[in-house]
Amino acid sequence: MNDDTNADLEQRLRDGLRKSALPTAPDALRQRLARLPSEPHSSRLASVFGGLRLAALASAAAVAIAFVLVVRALPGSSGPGPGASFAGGGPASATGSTAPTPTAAATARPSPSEAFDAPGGVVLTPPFTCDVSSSVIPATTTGVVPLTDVRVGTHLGFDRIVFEFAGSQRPQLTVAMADPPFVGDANGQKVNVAGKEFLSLKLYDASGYPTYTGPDAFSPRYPNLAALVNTGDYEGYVTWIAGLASSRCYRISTLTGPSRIVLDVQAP
Amino acid sequence: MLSRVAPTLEQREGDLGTAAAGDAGERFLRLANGELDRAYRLAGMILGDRHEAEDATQDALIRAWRSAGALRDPAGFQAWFDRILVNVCRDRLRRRRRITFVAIDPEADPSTELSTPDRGDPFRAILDRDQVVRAMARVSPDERLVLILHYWADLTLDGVAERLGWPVGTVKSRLHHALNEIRRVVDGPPGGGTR
Repeated sequence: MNDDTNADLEQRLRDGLRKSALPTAPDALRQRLARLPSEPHSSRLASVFGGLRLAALASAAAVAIAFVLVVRALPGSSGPGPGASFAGGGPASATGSTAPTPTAAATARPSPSEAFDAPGGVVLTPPFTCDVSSSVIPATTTGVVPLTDVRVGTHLGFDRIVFEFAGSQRPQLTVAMADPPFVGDANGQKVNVAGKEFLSLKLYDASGYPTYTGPDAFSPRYPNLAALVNTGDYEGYVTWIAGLASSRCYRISTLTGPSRIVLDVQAP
Repeated sequence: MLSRVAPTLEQREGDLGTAAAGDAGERFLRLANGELDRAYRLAGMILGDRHEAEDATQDALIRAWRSAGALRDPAGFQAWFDRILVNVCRDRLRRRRRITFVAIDPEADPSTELSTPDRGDPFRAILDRDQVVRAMARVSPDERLVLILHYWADLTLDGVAERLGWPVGTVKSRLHHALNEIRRVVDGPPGGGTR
């Protein structure tokens, strides 16, 4: 009887505690984690994994020496070090191919100019969580926001699209499932987009003219992001179609300084 | 043309340029990053407050980083980091003395799903929703840790003992006492629930 009561109570506890989905770690925590390398830690001498354990009596002196070594060994804060960036980082990551770069990213580069975002060196890969329920990022202003850059990149577990804007404001982004055929907003011409699944990414109130001078079509052939094609910059709507090889599982987020909207699609 | 440099994204992803690629620090970052969501949720369930959970997880990250040399086996990272995190959370719970007691609402439907997880604090919402779970507010901090680690994190009693640094027998006795306390609250005997 008592055992039954306990079992029931335990089951009720399990059920009650696990009923809802819980939030992922806030960005601030990931940022904090990413800043840890700028702080001293004991592994430089003790070698976290498989290294020699320091004798307790020597540890105090060793830590002090380690701190000096760390400071000396760390790449300067004024420039990207080898494999410095999760999201790329220009020449450093483009040439940092000795780092454990995901195979797909390494082999899928369509051209050097699109390889900037391939991960090199340290890769912080948040476990990918689909957030397709969030299909809209609201605008921060009622005015027209100039689009200045569009970038694509691939990371372990996801491919990334970044829209960058002038200043601190951002337009609204609406993400929607889409199906071909696609047509240009202004001219009605058919636009071909590679991929099996598609997402429509509509920015409003935004304008790429004259601030955005990049390509109107990307063909990165990343693990999931096959193509990204601009189908319109018309009457405040800037529309891009993302062609995907497989999953339409995505998440969206924003960044500031400068203002950016980021869409990640899950990649195998 | 396509931008070749993406300094903007680096801002979010942090100053990873200061981590020497290929060293133990990098491995620590990889492992910690993979555990971050789970750790944050564990802290949230223990503390019942997302802001405190964020602070506690951050404290644990810093402590772990500073003592990373103590970890020998990457496979043991989760248990090792959990132990640090649980200690941080326990300190916070003890400082609070007692979790805020929330009166049991007999009208509440325990089966009701939280309609909007972002409404208010998601951890608090879970901990307030169900009568049995709400009763956890009456147990001691150490007992609360056992309950969360065992019933939410689904750790075995051995696993709980490892995280808490206790003998398994201590975990069992704390668990037993906590369940009795919860049952007293749920059953609603006169005077039940005061400790």
